[in-house]
Amino acid sequence: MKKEEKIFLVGKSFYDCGTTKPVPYPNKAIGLTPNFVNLCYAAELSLKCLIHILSGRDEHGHSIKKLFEKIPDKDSFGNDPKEIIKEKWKKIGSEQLNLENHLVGSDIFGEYKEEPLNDFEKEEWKDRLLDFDSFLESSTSENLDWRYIYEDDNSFPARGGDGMDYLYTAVKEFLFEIRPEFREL
Amino acid sequence: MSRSEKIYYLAKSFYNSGCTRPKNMPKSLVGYVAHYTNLAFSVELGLKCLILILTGKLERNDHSIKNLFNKIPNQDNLGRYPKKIIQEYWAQRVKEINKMELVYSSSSIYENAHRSEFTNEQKKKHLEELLDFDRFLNESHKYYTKWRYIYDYDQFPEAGQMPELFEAVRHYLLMIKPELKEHE
Repeated sequence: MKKEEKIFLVGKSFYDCGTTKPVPYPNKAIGLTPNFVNLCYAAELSLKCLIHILSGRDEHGHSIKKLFEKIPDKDSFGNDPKEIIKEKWKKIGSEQLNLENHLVGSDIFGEYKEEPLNDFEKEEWKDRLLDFDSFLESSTSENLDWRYIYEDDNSFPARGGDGMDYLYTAVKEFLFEIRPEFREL
Repeated sequence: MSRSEKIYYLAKSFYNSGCTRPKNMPKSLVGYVAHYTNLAFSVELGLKCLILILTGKLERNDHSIKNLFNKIPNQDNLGRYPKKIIQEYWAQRVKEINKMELVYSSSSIYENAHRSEFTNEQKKKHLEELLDFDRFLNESHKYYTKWRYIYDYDQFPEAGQMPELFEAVRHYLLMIKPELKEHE
């Protein structure tokens, strides 16, 4: 099996695990942390796979932003993969973003309340969460922020795994276009 | 919430995730990479929690299960031997859980795994190997990184008795801090 296929399959494993409903846990955020971390890995590996295909290079590191920036400007068809992925990310996000309820809590390990958002708040959240550039900015250390959330008392990662989910899905769709055989993996 | 409670809370969450049945039955072992990684991380956190409680020191930047296990103090303040307790509980769980009837075999984690039956001789040898804690600990040295970057390695690590190790660490943690159970 080719290395690009191996990387893709490992990413898929993380995506499948990251999107599996967790067993009930008293604290929602901590119960979901492995999902968030797994989605970060999935996004990371999909980017590493794409870069490996387009440039033959093996990238290291967890920073989604750095990896994204390493995607070559043009693929062999003359298209700009970054622009395509960005557009896909926004489209997937606007279809999947769920703003019915909002988790409210001041301490990530503490208690949460679920509160419905009003229409004004929904629009505000929508604008914020579907802004690709600010997602990318907050994605530099998201994996580690969640994984070692107990090390720093003030740490509160910028967002959960939703942006990573859109990114993995967007990159996967792009990969399916340039490597249709990946669908069979 | 104290830091050790936070770590425990997170560790148990990763253990739960690592034990969750995959949504779709994977065709080959690579479908379980995320599970193995999560289980290794849960053990890492469980050990970090234990070391923090017993020594007051927060271990950072170490993924090696072996290094972390060796950092557990020999005796706790009630004169018990944590490493011995964990190792014994681990062996007991490995014996209980291991059904020894079937073995997954394939030459690569990317290929379809086929199940085949053990012979009695193989069973005996296999159980001996499984219960060799030092061997397990040596293999666990880079377990987390090895699974995570599996596509960079030619060989694949053994799945290992990680869930049992988490359970053993948890068993000892609940002995010294029963209130941790409230956080699962």
